[in-house]
Amino acid sequence: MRYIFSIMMLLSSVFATAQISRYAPSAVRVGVDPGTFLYQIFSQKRNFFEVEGDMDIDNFFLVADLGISSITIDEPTFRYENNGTYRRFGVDVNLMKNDPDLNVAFFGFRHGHANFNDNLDFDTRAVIQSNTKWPNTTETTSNNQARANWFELNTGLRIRIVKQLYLGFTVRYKLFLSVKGTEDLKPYYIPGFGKNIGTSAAGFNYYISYRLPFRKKIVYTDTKNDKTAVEKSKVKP
Amino acid sequence: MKQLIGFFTFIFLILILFSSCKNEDCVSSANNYLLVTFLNVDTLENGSISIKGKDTTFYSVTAIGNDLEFYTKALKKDTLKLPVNPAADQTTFQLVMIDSIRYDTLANNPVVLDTIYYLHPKPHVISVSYERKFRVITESCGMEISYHNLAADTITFPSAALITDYLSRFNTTNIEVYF
Repeated sequence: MRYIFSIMMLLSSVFATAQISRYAPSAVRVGVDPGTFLYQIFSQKRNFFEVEGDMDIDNFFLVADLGISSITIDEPTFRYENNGTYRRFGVDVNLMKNDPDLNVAFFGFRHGHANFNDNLDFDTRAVIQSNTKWPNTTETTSNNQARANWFELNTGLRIRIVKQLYLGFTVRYKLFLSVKGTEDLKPYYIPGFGKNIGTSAAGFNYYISYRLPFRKKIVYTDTKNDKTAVEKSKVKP
Repeated sequence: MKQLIGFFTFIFLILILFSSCKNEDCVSSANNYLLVTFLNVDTLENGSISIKGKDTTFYSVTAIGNDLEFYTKALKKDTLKLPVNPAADQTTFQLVMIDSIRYDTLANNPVVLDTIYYLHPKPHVISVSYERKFRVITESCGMEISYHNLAADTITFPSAALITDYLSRFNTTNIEVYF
């Protein structure tokens, strides 16, 4: 009886050690969307800066995106401005969990949240479908501290280019948008979501990422007996 | 690996196609016309009620405080489209009704002068308040103001009713005036 108890204790400690080694975070990856620099060069309307980070836990990633955004639409008869911040949190599932280069192809979901202010200045004669006999005046309307929430389905790739540097993209299908805190102005743009035309939208981001490993990640090459058949990833910490 | 990349490229192209099909038309159902319909209510011999549009003659239709005249003299209509002020949350209209018009022709050879008489002018007021909602439709299309929660603050006609509390370009009557 005493031997049986000792063997059970030994097995449980081995199992617990294996669990910790497998599911303990092995690395974080931090990246930026280089599209921000293209917008700053080519677009007078939109500016944004987005940072993405994820934590590698076995074949899952805990993901967080943070961004700031501003957009200015300056037309002859109206001017719309929108400034805000956004964040997304979620989980990705790696479909290439046994890749020795730690390349990633993933599906995942996110919850997105934006805080923003927007402002609309317009000439009343420019309002469509309206009688223009009234004298033209310039009106202003705005939202302060408006909020938006949405969900995203994501898919994408992260491909190792050299050492710990990765290039990739994320395709987003954003849905179930809800906007709160607005008054008389319907926001035309939601930071992190895009144009507020419907409750869903598609999006796309490029990322340049750098992986910061805590330890060597164990890649299981034999899924039938993955406790014994393991090899270390080619990517050195 | 190549299959995975091909798979995600396919997904990417599908989503780009999806996003490019997003409806961004220049469509607005809102306008700033308050539709006022004048109706003649009669009780027929069999007891049923007959409601018909009543052609009503107006000397003038103006917006109080702005000196805007929306309809010119001697207009005969059973429905008026009164544009509310897009820069305010309330608009007051003055409608001067007349019974009839009498023309007197004076032969003053070689010129014929017509003298027009507007008989029994009766001024009435319709004052409405509303909430305005603003929206940029598209960058190229411009913006719209939609008018909601319409309330009839003052109607000096003896009998009237608010029918629809929003303004629409689909010719929806907002206020009915009964005679």
